[in-house]
Parts: sequence; C-alpha cells; structure tokens
Amino acid sequence: MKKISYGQVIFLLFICRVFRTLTFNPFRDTNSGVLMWSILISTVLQMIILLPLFYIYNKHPGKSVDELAFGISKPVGYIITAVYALYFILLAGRAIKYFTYFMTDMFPSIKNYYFIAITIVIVAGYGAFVGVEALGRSSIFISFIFIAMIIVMIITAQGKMEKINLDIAVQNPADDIFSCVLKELGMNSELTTFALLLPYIKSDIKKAGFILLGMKLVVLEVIVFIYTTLLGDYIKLARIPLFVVGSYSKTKFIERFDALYMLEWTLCAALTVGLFIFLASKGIKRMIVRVKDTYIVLGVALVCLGVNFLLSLSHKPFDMMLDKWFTSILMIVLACILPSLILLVLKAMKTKAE
Amino acid sequence: MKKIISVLVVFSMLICMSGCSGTTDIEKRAIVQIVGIDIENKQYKVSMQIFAPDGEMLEKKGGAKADVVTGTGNSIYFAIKEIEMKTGKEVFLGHNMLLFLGESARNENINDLLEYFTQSEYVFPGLDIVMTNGKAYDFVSLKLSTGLISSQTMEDILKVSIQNGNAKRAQLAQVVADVRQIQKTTAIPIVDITEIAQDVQVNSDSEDKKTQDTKVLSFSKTAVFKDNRYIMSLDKEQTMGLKWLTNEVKNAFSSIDVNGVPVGISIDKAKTTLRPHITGDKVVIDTQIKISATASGNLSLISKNNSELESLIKNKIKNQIISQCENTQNILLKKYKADVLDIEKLLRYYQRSFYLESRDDYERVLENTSYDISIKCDLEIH
Repeated sequence: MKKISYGQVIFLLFICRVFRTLTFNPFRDTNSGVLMWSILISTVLQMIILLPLFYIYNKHPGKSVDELAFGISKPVGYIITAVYALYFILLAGRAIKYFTYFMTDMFPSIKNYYFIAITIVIVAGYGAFVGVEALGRSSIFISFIFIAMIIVMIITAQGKMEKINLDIAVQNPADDIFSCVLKELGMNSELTTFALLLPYIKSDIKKAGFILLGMKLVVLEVIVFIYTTLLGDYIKLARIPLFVVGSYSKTKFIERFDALYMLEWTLCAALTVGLFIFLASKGIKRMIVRVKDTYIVLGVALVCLGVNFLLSLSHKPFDMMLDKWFTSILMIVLACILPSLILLVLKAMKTKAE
Repeated sequence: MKKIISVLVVFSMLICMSGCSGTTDIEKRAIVQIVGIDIENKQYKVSMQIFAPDGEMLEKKGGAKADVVTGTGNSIYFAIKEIEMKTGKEVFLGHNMLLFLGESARNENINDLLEYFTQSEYVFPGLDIVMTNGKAYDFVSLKLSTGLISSQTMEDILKVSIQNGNAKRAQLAQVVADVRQIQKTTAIPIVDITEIAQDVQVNSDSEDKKTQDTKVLSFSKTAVFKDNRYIMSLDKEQTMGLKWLTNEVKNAFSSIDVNGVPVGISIDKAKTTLRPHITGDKVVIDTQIKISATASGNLSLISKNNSELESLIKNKIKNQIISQCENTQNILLKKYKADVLDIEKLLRYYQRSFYLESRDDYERVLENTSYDISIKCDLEIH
C-alpha cells in the first residue's frame, strides 16, 4: 500500500475545504462578524471531533475505521463500510454539482452541463485510479497555486480595503453563531476522510490534523476579511464571492484574472472528487473483493455522476437543508461518534473476553 | 491492442475536448467600453461605445476605432438585446469601465438601474458610475476634433477630478453596497460637458493656429440618493467636505487668500481618521485630519516673517477644510438627513450596541450626530 506523508494529507484535505469555499457564498444569510466567530468555533469543534480518530491511529496502527468495525462482526463491518462509501459518493456527487454549477453559471459561453460533469468525473476517476499518493502530490502544487492566487488578488485589487466594511454588529449572536457553526461544520466534511485515510498516513497524524485545522482557520479568516473589507455589502449579492474578488483585480499586463482562476477551480474540483471516489472505491472493494479495482473505480465514478444529476434536480430548500443539517450531522457522526462507538464496543468485547 | 485503444482514446479526447466549444468568436463579440442609460418615453435607452475595426477613430491618432450603438426597450436587458440584434454581436461587458446615467434616469430607483450590472458576473465591480447633466448618449458619443473620446480618456479625466477633489468616486460595488444600508443612500459624481476655447494647428505643415471651441468633461457636483432616489446635489465645496469626512482625499489643489494675495495650496498627502463616541443620545465623531501641504505663490508680497506666515497659511487651510466639512454636515445631516458619510458603517463597527439599539430610528441618530474636527497640517512654503 502506497502511503502519503502528513504534509500531503494536510494539503489534500485543505484543497477539499478550499473547493467548498470557492463555490459557495456564506454571506447570503449572515454577516462577517458571525462568520469569523463561527469559523473559529467550528475549528475548535473540529479539533474535538478528530480526537477519536487520533486515538484509533495510535492504538490500532494501520487500520481504518471500517476495518476496525469488521473486528466487531462481519455484518457490522459491512454496514459501516457501506455507510462510509455512500457518504463519500454523496460528497462526490455534490462536489460535481457545485463545479458544474460554477462553470455553467459563471461562464455563460460554457453551456453544456453534461459535458462538464462527465469531463470532471473522467479526470477525477483517473485520479482515484492512480491512488491517494498521486492525489497527495498534486494537492501540494494546487495549494500553492491557491495561496498565490489569494496574494495576487490582494495585491491587484482595485477597491480600497476598509475595516469599517466589516459588519460585526449582531442582534442575536448566540442563535446566528449556532446556525452558522453548524453550516460551517458541514462544509468541513472532508474531515471524515481521515476515518478511511488512517492506514495511508505515514506518520504524525496529530501534527497533520492540527496543522490542517490551523491552516484552514487562517486562510478562511483571511478570505472572509478580504471579501468584506474589499466589497462591503456587495458581497451578499455575489453568487461566488471569490470570483467577484478575482474579477476586481486589474493590472497593466493582464486585464482580467478570471480565466486563470478557472484553472485553479478545475484542479480543486478534480482533486476533491478524485479523493471521494478513491475512498468510496476502497470501501466497496472491501465488500466485493473479487471485482478488479479498475471496475470498482469506474462503477463508483458513474454512480457519483448519477448522484450529481439527481442532486441537480433538487430544489434550493432541499440543498440548504442538505448543507445545514444533513452533511453537518453526518460529518459529526462519521468522523467522531461512529469511531468512538466502535472503539467502545471493541473495548467492551475485549474486557468481556478477558 | 490495449495500447492502441488507449492511444486512440487519448487522441480523440485531445481533438474533442481541447477545442473552444460553445465560445463566441471575437468578431461576433461586441466589446463594450462605455455604457450610457437614458429614459425616453418611459423606455430605457442604452447607448454603448463598442470597439469596431470599421468604426470611427478614437481620439488618439493611430489607435483603435469604435462605434456608438443604441438600443431601446422596457428594461435594460431588452435594450441591450436590441443592440445585439442591430449589431449581430453578443454584448460583452467585461471590459466596460464607465457607466453614465443620464439626467432623465435621476428619478429612477438607482438599485433597479444597476440590477442588470450586478447580476452579471462578468461586469467589473470597479466599474465607475457617473451621472450626467443632460443625455447620457451625448457623453458616450462625445467627440473631439480627432475622434470619439475613448473610455480611457474619460477614466483619466475622472481620475484627475477625483484627485483634485472635484469628484467623489462611485464604483459599482461601493454604490450597490451603499444602497443596502438602512437609508439606501449613496453619492455619485455628476459630469457636465463644457466648451473651452483651444488653440489648434490649422494643418500639419504650417505653424498657424486658430482658436476652436472644444468640448471637455468637467466634474463639480455630486448627486445624493436616499431611499434609492435622487434627492439633491452637492456643490464643489460640499463634495470636498464629503471627501474629507470619508477619508477620500489623498491629494488636492486649492487656493486661499492671504492678506489679499492669492496662495496656491497643494495637498500632497492627507488622511482622515474617524472614531465615533456616544455622549447621552448624541453621536460625536472625533475626526482627525492630517495633511502635508505645499504653499506657493508670490508670498514675498505678504509682510510677515516666516513663522507668522506659516501659521497664518496653516490657519487659513484649516478654516477652509472645517468650513467645507461643516457645510457638508449641515446639508446632509440636518437638512436632508441622508447618510452618505458612512456614519452607519462607523457605528456598526465602533459602537455596536448603540447601533443595534438605535437603527430603527436612524434619522434621529443623524440629527444628533456631529463631528469634532481637529486638523494637523505640515506645511512647506515655496
């Protein structure tokens, strides 16, 4: 089994989170003050959520959560594996949907929705086929492009950044922050990948987790700060804020940066979908051992494509519910509660046997 | 066999997927550089200056050429569609840097007027918005003897006017953000066409010159909107006051009278710091203005020693700035109760609880708001 370093884990999961930021406007129903606090609180919660996985990594080295579940019993193992696989298929389908929405909505000349979806699935499927090591290596490169992109945006922005544009007056801070933290947790659903990535990580998972959370915290807070100080309340109208900030840039040597940013968006999408397809395929492989890896990856990629088309038919209220409750709660369950339960059951079984 | 299939797949992908499917060729795209909007017979009339290889020469000799095209419709969308039908090209607003709103559009809801532009992700958020005295079409199609005035020249004129304090910058992102605040207020510069006499060469071979009237753009007023509607315009002095109180003056030029001698003042650097504090139910905004200025003129005519002269000029500058600021405060806060001074943003940032408690009666907050201005001036005398 090819393993990845903790640095690659950091950048791989960082890109998954960045991709969500690139395709979402968090300002539609909240303000910058609430959002900044929510990011901070959600980071602390994510740290707590990851603790059982760190424990599993130390106590059961080389084992993923679903492999541990097979230690309870075979049926439990199958169920847990299927749950994770389905969750990653759902995440991949959603990611494809966000990407196709971004491409067709932001670039009116790109009209063929199916073409975009199929193309990204082919690329991501290939990424999943070559494995997590290749995805990990690419993520470092893509992360650096992203950081460079943010720096260029700040330097070349035409507007004036004003701190008084930060809207930090909130009528009901507790309610607003609770709701926003919940949504924010759902946007960090890549943390669940740790559950299945554990055997692939060479060393120092704690360091990887903490650096990842720290990096996400800093980058997300900086992005929110730039969004609001630069654009003020105009940001609430933007469908994809980073795209608006990007189009605010202007230099003498290049008129508009949008096309360059599109490249980064595409790379992030391919990597994110690729990782989810890879993990879902690994889960399914565990259940149907006899089928070749290639066919499993192909099958999972096709299912993800189908899920994307199904999700595309859904209405906005369903999307919002999915974002706010479904993915948030599933993230907490799959990254924290389920691994903790498996550990408790295994411990109880061990005590009983002794 | 596998290898052959793989190679065929790769090549077919290269051919099928790397092309520009669904794109618009450059000759089928109308690249807009200036847009003007007028209201005529309750219809929107949109004028656009569009790059066109066979169009009229722009004012810079040897440069690009452009056409002015108009379209009419019951919405901006339909007016632009008419332009597309007339030209047979797809309108592209991604390079548009200037939007003129005609005098007839003044009574329209500014938010509705700008909606079309905020909906499109291609539109530059830094697009400059300017109101015109007269028809916007006249500005879009404004000509010099050498050709149509380009958007770049107009942008340069606006930039210089902003620098000299004659105009306040109003970019799309800023205006749209402004009208999302409690009072839906914003301020937009007003431009005029004025004719000036200019010496021009009769022909390129001779040095003979003749005087000819040339049209130029001039900015001196600022339109104020409240509840998305135009309510009044600020004159040049009030515009300058508005700029001082919103930290928009970076440099400026003015003249003062010192004992009957005109003295030119060039402000090279300026910064306004604003901090609101609450006293009872009153808002006092501590305003510190720091400037570095240079005074020039026939100063030897003023019979004062250097330090006396410096302090005299400094006081004159300070009085001028304070008078501009007070004038602006009086008209905006006391008479029209319109917040284009970013008071809401200041309160929202620095006085959160007061802001949340009092935002339902915001006009009263404005009535009870005053500025406590102190000015620090570093002066160099030439």
